Amino acid sequence: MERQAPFIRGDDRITHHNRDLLIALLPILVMPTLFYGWRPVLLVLTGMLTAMVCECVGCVLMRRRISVLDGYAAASGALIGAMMSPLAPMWMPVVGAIFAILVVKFPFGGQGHYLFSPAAAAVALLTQCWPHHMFTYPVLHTKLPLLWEVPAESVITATSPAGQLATGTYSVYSGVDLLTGMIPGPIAGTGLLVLAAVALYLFIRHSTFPMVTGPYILTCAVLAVLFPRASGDWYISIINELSAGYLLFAGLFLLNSCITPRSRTGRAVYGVLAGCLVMLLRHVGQFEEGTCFAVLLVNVVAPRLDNVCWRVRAFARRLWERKGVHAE
Amino acid sequence: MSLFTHGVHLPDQRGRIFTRGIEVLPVAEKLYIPLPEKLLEQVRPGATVRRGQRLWENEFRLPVYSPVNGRIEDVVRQNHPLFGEGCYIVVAVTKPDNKPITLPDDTAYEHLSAVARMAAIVDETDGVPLFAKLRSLRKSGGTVVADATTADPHTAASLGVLLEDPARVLRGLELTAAYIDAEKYGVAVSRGAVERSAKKALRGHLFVCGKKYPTDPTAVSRKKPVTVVGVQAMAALAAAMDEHIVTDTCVVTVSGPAANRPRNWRVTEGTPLDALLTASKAEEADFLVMGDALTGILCEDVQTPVFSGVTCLLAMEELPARKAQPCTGCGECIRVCHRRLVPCEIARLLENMQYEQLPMLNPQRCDGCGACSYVCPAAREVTAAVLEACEVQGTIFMDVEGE
Repeated sequence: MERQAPFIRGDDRITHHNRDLLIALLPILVMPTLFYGWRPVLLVLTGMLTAMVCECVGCVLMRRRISVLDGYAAASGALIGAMMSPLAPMWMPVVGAIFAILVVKFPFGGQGHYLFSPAAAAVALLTQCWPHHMFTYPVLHTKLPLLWEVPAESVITATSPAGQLATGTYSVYSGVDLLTGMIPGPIAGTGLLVLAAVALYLFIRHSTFPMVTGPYILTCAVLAVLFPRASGDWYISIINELSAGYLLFAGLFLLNSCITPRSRTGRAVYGVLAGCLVMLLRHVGQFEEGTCFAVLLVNVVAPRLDNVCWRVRAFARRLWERKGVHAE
Repeated sequence: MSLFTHGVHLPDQRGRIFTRGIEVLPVAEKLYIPLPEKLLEQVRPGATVRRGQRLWENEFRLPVYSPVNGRIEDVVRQNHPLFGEGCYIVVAVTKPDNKPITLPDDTAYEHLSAVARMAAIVDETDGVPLFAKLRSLRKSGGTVVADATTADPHTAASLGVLLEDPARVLRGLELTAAYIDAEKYGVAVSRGAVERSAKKALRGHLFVCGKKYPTDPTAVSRKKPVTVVGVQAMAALAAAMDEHIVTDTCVVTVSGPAANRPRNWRVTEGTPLDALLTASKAEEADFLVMGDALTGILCEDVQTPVFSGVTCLLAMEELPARKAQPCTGCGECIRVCHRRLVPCEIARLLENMQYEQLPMLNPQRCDGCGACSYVCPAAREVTAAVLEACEVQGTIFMDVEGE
């Protein structure tokens, strides 16, 4: 019981933030469901449930109160599922979720203490181990079986905009297709418009930080103009780069976690760094989509960013005060 | 809902306290009168006091008047949640008397600070004697603002006093403004708190603040410095100057979930809390909070006396019991902090005992408003941690300088 002020508490709970993330995932799942049936939803649910079971196991192993209801595990698992290809076998989100919770999250102390974003780490592992499963996408309007694995030869596959950019050409899809999400790609690689609406919802609910996502997207756009991967107008480069893979999705969901810097400047620098790394990995990386690796790399510098920002600010204040004293 | 501004919207719990006006609480059977430590041996139980009798001067050199006719029953040492440990005489009331206490004949009415001292006025916003405040601000200019903002969800005392007699409060402000050469003076209220009739009475002297907690009355005027004074102190000052009356009462809001008759009460100074609780039908309350819900202090003794400076009393059936979880970095505390601090990081540094890094985060700027703890979704005691960081930091500096 609390013996000190404040004696009233706001209604805000950790659960609400995670609920917002899960709610924000719903509109993202609409387009894939229309195109491929219920399999994408099942992939997301599989990731979510596995993560929740792993969370319970982790809590039992660490002799802690079981905190599965706060929704962190559910959100992480759902994010892992959402970054799969619709063709991915069901065991992939399972492996990803187990890795995220039992290897990346709990050994470092669980919620609030881990060093890397669990979802990004899991997707990085899956990308490294099974890239063919991650980056093979079916053409639109392919009815996929609900549960069992899809043999590669039985489905007509298509190259995603990210894959096409990696080969040095802009995608064959029109700007409208890219904006509305009528393109092959990962489940969460839906159109820019849906993600913009989701971003607005999350910003208003204070569940993600505009100070991270804004600079991140801006950096990606600027770098897309400065270093285009194919010849064409500058705005085509921006739309193609932003809608390829899960760049925007990562900006909204992966970059905002307990690892994000606390200072405003730190957050902006964090976003800019992430944007630079994402674009760098697209230019020199082995895979068509390396956003998860970029997120892991910026996670490393995040705690230091705050410290540097505050030190610079304190130094500037001291200088300012000294100047003021001299002026007097 | 705003994205970028600071402060927090609190649910208004006052209900109809404003519209009911201020009710006068009958004088309790026994009252507490503060006694300076040095007189502890000299005062004997059994002696009688009469209403208006100038007993002694307290440690701030303010005269202490007896508010009642009575007999000294006991001399006690008691710990007051707001004023710390002190000595009191307990006076059993023998004969009720409603005649106002008048100022002594030798009062120098040409000096406002002298009147404020003789009338024993204490500014309820900060607990400082008004005369000391006036003297320190002599000829400072700027703006004088009486704080009647109601951002806190329960307190309604200052607004109650203002709405009861706006002209008197304005008169007090006018006198103060003239004394310290202020260019502007007025009353700061929250948006939507006063109705049209009151606005008319305060025309030209009304500053409207936002509805968010905490409000900053110093931001209402560009004529700096902005001096914030209490509404009750201003009313008392006007009464002392114009009618030569010593105000021996203060207005206290009794509210909270366990108060069945939430009211603004006008109580005689020194009234024990149990009299207030009985009048507000809050005897069943398990917890009493002196002050508002965000910055108040838990009070365990119902015999604690009420003095000017106590503006709110909360009667609660239960205290929030939420288990603190690890910080999730959601950034809510940073968003709401009106002093632009980073409470979660200060708390983390304190937990990790990285004291040497605390100065760069400026924890000493915290005013303990409690907004960060209120919004924290992980129910962490962030405010307490920041306030602790202030103390820790101070200790380190002292040690360094000591070397």
